Amino acid sequence: MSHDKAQTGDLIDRYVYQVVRRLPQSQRADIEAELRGLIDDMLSARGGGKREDVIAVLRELGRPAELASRYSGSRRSLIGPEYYDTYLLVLKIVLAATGFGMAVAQAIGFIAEAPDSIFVAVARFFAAIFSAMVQAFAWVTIVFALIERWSGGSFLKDMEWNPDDLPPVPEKNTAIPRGEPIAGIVFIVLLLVLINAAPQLFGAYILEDGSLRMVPAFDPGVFYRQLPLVDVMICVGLVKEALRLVVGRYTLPLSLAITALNIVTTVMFILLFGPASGVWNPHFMTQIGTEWSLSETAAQLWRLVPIVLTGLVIFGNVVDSVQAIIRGARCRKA
Amino acid sequence: MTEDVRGVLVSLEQELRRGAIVLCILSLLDRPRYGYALVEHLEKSGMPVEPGTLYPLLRRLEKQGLLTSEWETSGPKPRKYYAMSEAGREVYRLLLSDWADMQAAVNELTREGENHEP
Repeated sequence: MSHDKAQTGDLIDRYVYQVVRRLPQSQRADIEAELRGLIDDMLSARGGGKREDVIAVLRELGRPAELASRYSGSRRSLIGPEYYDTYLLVLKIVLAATGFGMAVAQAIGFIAEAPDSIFVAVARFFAAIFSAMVQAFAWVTIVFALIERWSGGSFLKDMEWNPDDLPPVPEKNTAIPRGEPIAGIVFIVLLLVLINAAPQLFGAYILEDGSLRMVPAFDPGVFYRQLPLVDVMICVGLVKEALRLVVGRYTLPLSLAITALNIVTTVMFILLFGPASGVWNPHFMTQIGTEWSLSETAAQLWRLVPIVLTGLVIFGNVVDSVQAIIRGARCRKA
Repeated sequence: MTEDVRGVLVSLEQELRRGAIVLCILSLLDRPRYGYALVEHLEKSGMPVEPGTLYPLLRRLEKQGLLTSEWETSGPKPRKYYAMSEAGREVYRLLLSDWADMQAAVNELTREGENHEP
């Protein structure tokens, strides 16, 4: 009998402990005393303190974690509904860009330095992608959890909102499908990673006596000197895509902003990569020409590359700007 | 009735009861009572509440300032007694009149509904 009593007492101790350990220190003693009193009352009501009675009573009270959560009543989500949609969207973009960027960076790494075996290569490839994506996931989640905590999930609620501020429902042809700016952001992040982490990608690879020789497309000295400006130019593009994602439809102000950013990008591109920039490796064709036995006229073609590229960039930016302005103006009329 | 619909019914019933339970608890705490006495009283009155729900609720109402509590240690076992505070009485009075209004309105609406039945 006393043995049985000790056992049931132990069961109650274990239950109470599992409840209070989940509660704030300051409330533990009080809740524990009250909870023990309750269990005692419930046992008396059943008219027994046998093991089966204790088990029935504890079952009725429910799982310790559930009971504790009813006591604490605290918020039980890391990221609340206010930010959840934005969080998911940003998470997807960041994971896609990181995973893809890391895959390409690894592939380039293997070209630069051949791994010992295919198994090592595969293992290293997936390990690097996995750990980069875990990091990306963690950082995005941490940032959003902090926003949630700092704003108390309520800084939007505290502001009075005016129904007049609601933007009009976008017309079919003024709405920007989310996929466009997202694809743009992924591409730009990728470009940013590659141009900073693996500029050697931009060049020609020549197999020479069983080993790869790289002929750079850019003059390394000039390229590294102006790399910060190149990054600024790419980030201007990133800002443009972010604006399109956030605004979500073509408006006149957005169209004007897009046009202004396109002008900045185009001017910077002409200065940094235009025919007069000096960033292109002038000996590119002659360096690979010896290997591929190209004629002299082929070497002349190399000088056309910056001109053609500049033309394409100007054309692309003009088309993008005109399209944005037409759509923005159409929205104005509507 | 299918399993799914029964589940919906149960959760709707719980929602209906949730607000009413606070009203019932306050009504009983015009004098000090301890938790398990409330459990038994509510059950006898046809308004059963799980102890695992009631005890945390009592603490929440105390934190919100509607109840006061005191440990009674002179009896055979120590018990925490709850009673309505001044603010609690005020809130109870207002809730009671809300309840009466709501009841009248619901009765009115459901009676109208009955008339539409073929």
